[in-house]
Amino acid sequence: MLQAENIKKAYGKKTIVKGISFSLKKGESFGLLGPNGAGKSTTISMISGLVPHDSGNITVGGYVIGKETAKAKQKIGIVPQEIALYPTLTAHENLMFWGKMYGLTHGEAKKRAAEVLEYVGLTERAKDKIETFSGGMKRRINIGAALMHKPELLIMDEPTVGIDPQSRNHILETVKQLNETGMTVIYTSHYMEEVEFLCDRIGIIDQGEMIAIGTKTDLCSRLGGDTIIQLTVSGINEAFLVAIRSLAHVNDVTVHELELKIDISAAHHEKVVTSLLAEATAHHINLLSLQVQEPNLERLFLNLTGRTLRD
Amino acid sequence: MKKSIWIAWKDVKIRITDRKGFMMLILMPLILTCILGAALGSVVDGGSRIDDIKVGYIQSDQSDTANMFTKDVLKKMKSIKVTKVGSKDKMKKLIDEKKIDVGIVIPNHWEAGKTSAVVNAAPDQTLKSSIIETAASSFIEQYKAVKEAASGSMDYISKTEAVKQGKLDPAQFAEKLAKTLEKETGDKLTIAEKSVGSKAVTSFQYYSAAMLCMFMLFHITVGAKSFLQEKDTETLARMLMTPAQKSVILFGKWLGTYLFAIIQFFIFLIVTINVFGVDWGGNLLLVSVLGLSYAAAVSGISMLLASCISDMKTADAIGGFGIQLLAVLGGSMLPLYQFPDVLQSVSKAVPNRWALDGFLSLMEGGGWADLQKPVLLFAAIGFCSLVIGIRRLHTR
Repeated sequence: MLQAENIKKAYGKKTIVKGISFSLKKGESFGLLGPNGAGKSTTISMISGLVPHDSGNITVGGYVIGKETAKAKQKIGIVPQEIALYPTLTAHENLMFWGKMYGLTHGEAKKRAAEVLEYVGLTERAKDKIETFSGGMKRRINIGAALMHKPELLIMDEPTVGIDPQSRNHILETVKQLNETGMTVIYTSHYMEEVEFLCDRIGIIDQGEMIAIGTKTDLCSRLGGDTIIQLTVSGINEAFLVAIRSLAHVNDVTVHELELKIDISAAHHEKVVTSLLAEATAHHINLLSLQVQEPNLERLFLNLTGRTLRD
Repeated sequence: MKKSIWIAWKDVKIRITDRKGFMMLILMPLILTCILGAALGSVVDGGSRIDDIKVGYIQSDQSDTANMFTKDVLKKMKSIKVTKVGSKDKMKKLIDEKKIDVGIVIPNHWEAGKTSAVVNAAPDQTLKSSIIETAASSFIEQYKAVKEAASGSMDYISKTEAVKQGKLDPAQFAEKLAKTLEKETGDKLTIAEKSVGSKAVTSFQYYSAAMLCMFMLFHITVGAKSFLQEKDTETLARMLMTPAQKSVILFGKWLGTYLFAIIQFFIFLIVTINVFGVDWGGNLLLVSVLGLSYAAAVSGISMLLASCISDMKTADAIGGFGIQLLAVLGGSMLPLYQFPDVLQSVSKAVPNRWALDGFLSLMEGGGWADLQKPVLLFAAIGFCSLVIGIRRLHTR
């Protein structure tokens, strides 16, 4: 469905995208994860034909961006990060307009607008102006506008920014359903839990480069599969540290003396936690908190870049 | 092309449903026409016809030139009734009693250019006084020019070999020259009364045309702002992600501004005709042709402006100051004939002046011949600014 080979983009002397490559099969859902300014939106803009790429090749549905851009665009539905709608027009009028921009006739657009409104759960608000909608409802129409021409590839650029949890869940469920009907999805976000929920494969972008790509399991396996158990204690004593280092399944212990925190890397955390509590009691250690962090993309990103996704 | 129409239609819908914009572009010109037409009636109505100017004159300069002005120029003008007045006090009294509209004093040595004629009039007769003042100054300037030309010619002739050798008689030459100049200047030293049509323009007519021309100018900033807004709200980027070509999108934006300008024009025309009883000159087809071409020009300029600015603040500044300046220069605030000569010349550079002149010509009974220039000019402005604007925006 999509092939991006070594695509690059620079604005003046600043290179924003430094040779990204990835491909998507039909019906696949792909997450682009990265902090703000990583180059996700620029990558999407190049794929959707809005911004010309400086080098590399992009093919969408067999059409080459740059040569057969109009045909490629017809296959893409794009949900921009901003609410790109006309606030003084109604939801129905907005959908009709965007449908017609993709070549739908008046009749087709009317029929499809009704379907899309049903799909995003806003049929009853069809005749209301967008400016009267809540942030979440606007986001749903923003997605609806991209679905009007039944695209084969749906590109969503951080579609849940700044909305309430209920609307966020509705959007995530909608995208999941669309993907299940066979639509290929590219979903960008800096919320790893959204990407983890929706996507079969994930690409992690940082500073214009794809630093990791694969399934969630593949990516997390790079962390060695260990869980981190973080203890916050009232004081640290050496005997306690010796005891926990010798526990079964504990692979590593890191002490943050100033913060009175101990990170324990363990293969089977459920077995280790019980032993830890017993050792703490035996060594008169007062436990203030205990957190279990399973391997996740946030940790992978931290591991790869030394920064968190929301930095 | 279809996509351009959808974009245009969407823009028209947005502007029609925008109450503030609707008030500004549709209701405001009608309200202002009503107020200005009624309030400034004397300025326009009092001066729109020159067939009833009653002029009283005091002639201290008894030269042939001064006689020529009072007897041959003023008295021969169909539109002026001339009365000789004995003294300045008598003249003031006649003006106060409204027995004369304008009084002119031709002082001694006027012919020699050492003094200037003085024109007196009541405050509500500014147009009539300016006509008489212009007539006097034009006459004396022409006279001086002819006199200097004749004097220069005689100086030159007297120094030629033909005169020295007696082959040319300077007296005979002077006589021939005098006859020729008399024939030529006989035409030039009179005030040509040229009327475009046969009808007079009322204040309501003037301000209807003036307000229409001014408020149609606002489409320049409205169109440019619409483009910038699409850019700011990412709808332009979203449009560019559709299969529609850039030029199709940009043409659609122009078309939206053009369509709304046309809607404004026809609403204004219909309301002024039916509510204010304004006579636009009988030939509504010609009025429409001028309106449509003017709308094309302003919407073209809006695209050019959109390509030159990048933020709404600049557009607002242009809307607030630039359009008002154009409106004043173009005669939308005060009648053009009240402007000094320099401003009259400057005003010829602004498009609304051409539009106003065109509408006034039609109101005065003019026809297609009077419209050819402005219509062609507007078509050229519209086309060129659209092409340049689209090219610049395309590149950007």
